Amino acid sequence: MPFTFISRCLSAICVLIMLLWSRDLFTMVGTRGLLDPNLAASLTEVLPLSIYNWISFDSLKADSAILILINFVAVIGAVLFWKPRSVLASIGLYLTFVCFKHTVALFAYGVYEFIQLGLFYVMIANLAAYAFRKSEGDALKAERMVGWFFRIHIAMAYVFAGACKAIGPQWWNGESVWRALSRSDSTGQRWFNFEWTGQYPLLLQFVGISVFLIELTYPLAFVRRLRPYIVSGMILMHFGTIVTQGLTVFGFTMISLNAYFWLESKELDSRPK
Amino acid sequence: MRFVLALLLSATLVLATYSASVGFSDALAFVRKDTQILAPPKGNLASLSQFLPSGTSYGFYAPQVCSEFRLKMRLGESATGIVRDVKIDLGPESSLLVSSLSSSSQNSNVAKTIAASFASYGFTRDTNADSAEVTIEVEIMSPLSEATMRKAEWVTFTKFHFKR
Repeated sequence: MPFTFISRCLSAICVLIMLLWSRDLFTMVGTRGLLDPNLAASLTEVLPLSIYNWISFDSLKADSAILILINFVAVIGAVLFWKPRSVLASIGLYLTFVCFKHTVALFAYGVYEFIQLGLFYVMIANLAAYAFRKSEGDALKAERMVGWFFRIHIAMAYVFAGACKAIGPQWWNGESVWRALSRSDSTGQRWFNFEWTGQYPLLLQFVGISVFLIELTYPLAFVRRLRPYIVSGMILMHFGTIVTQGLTVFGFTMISLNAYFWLESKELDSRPK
Repeated sequence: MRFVLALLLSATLVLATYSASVGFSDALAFVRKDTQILAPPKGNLASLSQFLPSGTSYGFYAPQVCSEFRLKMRLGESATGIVRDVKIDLGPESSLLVSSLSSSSQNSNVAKTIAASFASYGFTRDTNADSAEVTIEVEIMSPLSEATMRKAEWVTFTKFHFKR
């Protein structure tokens, strides 16, 4: 059930991202795009699935390949949404999404990392369920193990995110929250103007400290009694980033991962050992 | 079979934790104004960590929220003397992605490459233009203590000129 949920959420987000990309695809990438293929290709040695590893970046074939790639991601994403436990669709979506991410690496931001993370565990869970399909008990045990690793990975990511914030003074004194809220509206997505928050430094300080504290203490979500507070706090924080910073896709991806963490934990708690 | 699965997942998690530690040491070096950081994975290990979900540091907005960067471009025609500002019409998510690219401009070597990339975009779309001026601007924000007194302003960080 939890893997069905996260599989559907992530595949829907992949389809959405491809739709958003399709609007500006050739303004952004390809032979006539903002990201010069030479620049994109210079990174390919550490990005094994970038299409520039296989296709000459100055040919029109590169444009066609990118177009085919985003269509593949969208179509396979739609298939996985329809059949969330399909082994082939989950492998296909993981490979095509990572291929896309590596090809547009210089544009990619945090959300691409977390989608890759989620799709990886969905793929492994589906593979495990398939490999142990003859014994329901073994399949459950294998999936349960994947679920543990997935939740530990999410918690590890939050701990490091919190630790990196906590070592500088700016999240302690509210400066970073002020900057995050009142930076220029370069994305065109900000729904409200939050410059007025500069009049309330204590509030900003409280928010700043709360943000890294909830990230640092995320592993406490493994404790059943504390889980509602930690996971709801985190969902609230991500909802805040959607409203205040316009990080819509990122926010919904992280809310999905948190909802998965909650569902998986509940399932494991209620299942006989 | 379960042992192999556990091994694969453990390796992914260990590699991810190492990459996150590299990011943490980078943030620490930034705060201490130091240059010593944990060595990031290299060669095949770097490729593997990118293939698995293990190649990121998770240090978003840390240790502090950096200033916003933006690129502006003007194209010129030497024959007629006409100079035009280039407006790039992008959707909200694409603007966010471009802002992610622009923020790499704080490194001066990368800045020149990105500016060249923008100039190439301009030249491809405007075949009459034979010169391009790409300006990278940075938003200077007032500190929180002066938030109510000073407004943020955009200043020129660096400027590049290109000829076709």
